[in-house]
Amino acid sequence: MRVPAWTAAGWTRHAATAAGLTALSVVAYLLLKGVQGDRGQVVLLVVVWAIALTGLNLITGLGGYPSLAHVSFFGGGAYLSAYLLGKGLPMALCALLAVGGTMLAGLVVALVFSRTRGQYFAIGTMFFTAVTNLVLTNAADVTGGPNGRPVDLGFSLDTTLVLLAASLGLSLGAFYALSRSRFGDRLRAIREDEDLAQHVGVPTARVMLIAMVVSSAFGAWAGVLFAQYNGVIAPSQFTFVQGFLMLVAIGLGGGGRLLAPLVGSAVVIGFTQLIKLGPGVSQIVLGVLFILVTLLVPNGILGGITALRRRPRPTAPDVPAPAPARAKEVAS
Amino acid sequence: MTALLTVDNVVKRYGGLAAVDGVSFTLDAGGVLGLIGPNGSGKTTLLGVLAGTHDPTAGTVTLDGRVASGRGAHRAVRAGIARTFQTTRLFGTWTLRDSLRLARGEVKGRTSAASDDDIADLLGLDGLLDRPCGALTSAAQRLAMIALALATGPRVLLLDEPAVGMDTGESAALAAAVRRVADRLGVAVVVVDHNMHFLMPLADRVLVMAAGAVLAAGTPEEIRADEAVIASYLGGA
Repeated sequence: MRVPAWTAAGWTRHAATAAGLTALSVVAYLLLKGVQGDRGQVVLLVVVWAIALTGLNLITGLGGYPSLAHVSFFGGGAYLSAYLLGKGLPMALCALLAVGGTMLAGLVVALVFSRTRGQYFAIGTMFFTAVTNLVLTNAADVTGGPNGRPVDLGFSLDTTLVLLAASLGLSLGAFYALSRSRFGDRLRAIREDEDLAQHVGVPTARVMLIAMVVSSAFGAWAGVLFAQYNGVIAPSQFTFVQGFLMLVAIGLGGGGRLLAPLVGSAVVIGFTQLIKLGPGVSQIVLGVLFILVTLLVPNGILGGITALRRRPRPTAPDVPAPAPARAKEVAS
Repeated sequence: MTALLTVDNVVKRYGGLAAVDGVSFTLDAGGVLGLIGPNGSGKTTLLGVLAGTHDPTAGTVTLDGRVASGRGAHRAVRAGIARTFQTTRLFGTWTLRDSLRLARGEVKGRTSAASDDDIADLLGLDGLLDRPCGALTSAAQRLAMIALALATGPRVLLLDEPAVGMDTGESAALAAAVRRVADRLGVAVVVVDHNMHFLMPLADRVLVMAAGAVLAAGTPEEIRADEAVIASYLGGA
């Protein structure tokens, strides 16, 4: 449960978190600016995914609903902003409409699947992503078809980098605030036991609906920035497999934890982009790693680290151990 | 004076099966109603209708003259009807105090009669508020479920087999705790249980269900002497 906000300990923690996230944004900017080539692309993807996954961390990490629709919101932001920009609208308005339109899609998904839970919710959202990807692939006039479409430059490169770095800190900050609010408590209660949550008065359907819509906004904004940086977007970047990898990233990082999106993104992107094990092999290795983490540290990498730090240290025994000489005597 | 809780001809059908078939009763503040009957007689389904878990097919549940049925579980809680479950259900990784805080926060508009410490005192959970619910003993967890329901400041408390798994001493302590809740907080309590040694001394009135309908209703003494109830359920108990 959260640290109460109106205590000295609470304020100290909030201030430390704000300072840490500001520092993280600065480091992200320096890395985005300084690292070039393939590794630069990896840094970009880690930052973009971390922003997008912060939304998924709300619905899946805190709320316990395994959403495979998140990659569609990510793609929705990218495609909508690119399409509107192509129509000559100002970039700020394009971004706003792209995020708003995607939130509307999030609302529809939430309403359609409001009566499903667990694996049924996952299957439902997986089909949403499959259908979205089919539309992106086949509506060639608008989306450019399977080869994708170019994205006009709305923000300058430096503005995009600043926005990416700032969005990382701000997204995580927003998650921190939400997770420590009553809304965050309600989501945790739903994850623990949704029926019980209802019977202590939590309007679970409404809470999950809001979580889905808010979550889609993070995904869409990340999509807008991704499209701006990348310059080209294609349906292959927003497939069901990518959606599943996003879910894996949250699980690996430690669902519901503040830095889970960043840690999860770093591991998943690192495996798929940096370790060249051949087509598909890195994903198999990633799958094995996911199984191992799930079995050995069910709360993810960050959960495992927290558990290690909280493990009581062995203390010196009060009674001295028997002397070896005595042991020998007994043995003889 | 009108009753606090009025259950009027409630029916709950699943296809052709009437799990609850025209049940009616009233309950006053501070009263304890025992609900007994064989397995499958509709007790838990009736509790579900009262708690808003299930919508009734017909009939109404009114609390203080206002319709409280068919509006969903969270609205029933906000109206003043709280429940516990047959199996232990708690937010296992949370402390009991955190769980109570969440429940209290959901009914902000309605002042809860008892503080966390009052609830712990009433139920004999002193010293356990700051422990994770999952780490409590089985009997303490059953009491913690009641504590969680009480934190919503209910006017009607529905207990579904609260004494299951308890030994004689624990169920006697539970009966005393439930009586304290009814007497001190003025909460009307509906208790479903198969343990007659626990239920009969606790209940002011008993309703016997069979095949979804009311078989008999009366004081525990009247029920014990009812031939139809003895034949269909109590036997020599």
